[in-house]
Amino acid sequence: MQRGTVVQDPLDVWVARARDGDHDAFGEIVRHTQTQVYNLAYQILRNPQEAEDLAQVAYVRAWRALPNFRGDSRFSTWLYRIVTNTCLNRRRQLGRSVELGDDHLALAADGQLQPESSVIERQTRRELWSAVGELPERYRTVLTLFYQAQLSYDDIAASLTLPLGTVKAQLSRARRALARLLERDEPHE
Amino acid sequence: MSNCRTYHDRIAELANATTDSISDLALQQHLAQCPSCRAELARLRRAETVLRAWPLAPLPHDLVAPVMARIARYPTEPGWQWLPWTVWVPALAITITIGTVLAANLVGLKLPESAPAALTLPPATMPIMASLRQPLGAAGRDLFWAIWFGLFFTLAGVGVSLGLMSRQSQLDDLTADLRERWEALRETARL
Repeated sequence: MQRGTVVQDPLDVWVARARDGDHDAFGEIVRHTQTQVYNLAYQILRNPQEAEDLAQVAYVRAWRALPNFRGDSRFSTWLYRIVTNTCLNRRRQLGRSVELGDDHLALAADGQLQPESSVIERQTRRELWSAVGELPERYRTVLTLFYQAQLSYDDIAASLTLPLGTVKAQLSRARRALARLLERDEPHE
Repeated sequence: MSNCRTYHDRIAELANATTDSISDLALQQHLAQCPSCRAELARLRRAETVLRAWPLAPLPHDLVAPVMARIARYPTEPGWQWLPWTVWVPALAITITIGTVLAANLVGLKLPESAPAALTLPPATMPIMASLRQPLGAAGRDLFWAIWFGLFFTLAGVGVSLGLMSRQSQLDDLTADLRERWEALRETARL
């Protein structure tokens, strides 16, 4: 997938209808974005119940703010900005106490793998989830937006209201930190 | 190696590239000689490969129904909110103008018959202004001053707005940078 190119957002039609107050159109938007929104919320909060609740709160905020969405950015970028702000505010209220020790997503994601998936593949994914969980929240957020939500650097900068240079630097630091953690977790012979 | 740091960013870029070939000759030579940088490249490439295959975790529950239920409890109309400052700054300027002229009338403040020399219009326009003021008498004088105040405050308001707009990205950068430093400090303190 080529990053940084302007692509017609497939959500545009639903967004236009939802702006006019069409509940069904907004329902479609939720249906098509909920997995990414939930994953982003989870990576910030590290708590499945909180992530689910805050994802819902973020959607309600998006619905209420939709008349003000001017289309200056892609809808998904705008939505992720709301999700990020909502979750970061919640996290500031709760502190680190919100985080759960066990990585629920890792276990849930394991369930998605095909039965024939190799032990190595499962092991690698577990290591990834575990390593990501050890990263600071801002690193997890940029990694999630880049690799899972497939946003470009510009879109991440817009979502997090950070300068482009800061986003690139954070992503670079996040990759290095993750690489070190993955190496540490590698079984030694 | 002492110059490893100079290759730091290029190694990161190489690790993120989709190709394995190294077009940068200096980097190629450095990697051939430096086991530490080769190991760093291998580490970063492995992380990149794993991250590119990072799957989205499934949702525990579908969010559509609960979100729509929450939305149904809220009014459709967006709540009251501040107008953007690009609107309210000029609006405030115009309000000050009208308020000043009205207040001057109410208090009975005697407004000068004409604008100060520094504010006078080009000579060619003076007869036009005079002909506009003459039939209106005292009201014409107020109108004249209202126009002057209006022009002054509105242009000042628009000027302030444009000035703030041009600085907006710098303000955002500064805020983000400060936030980033604060987070880094907190993280250091935690470790």
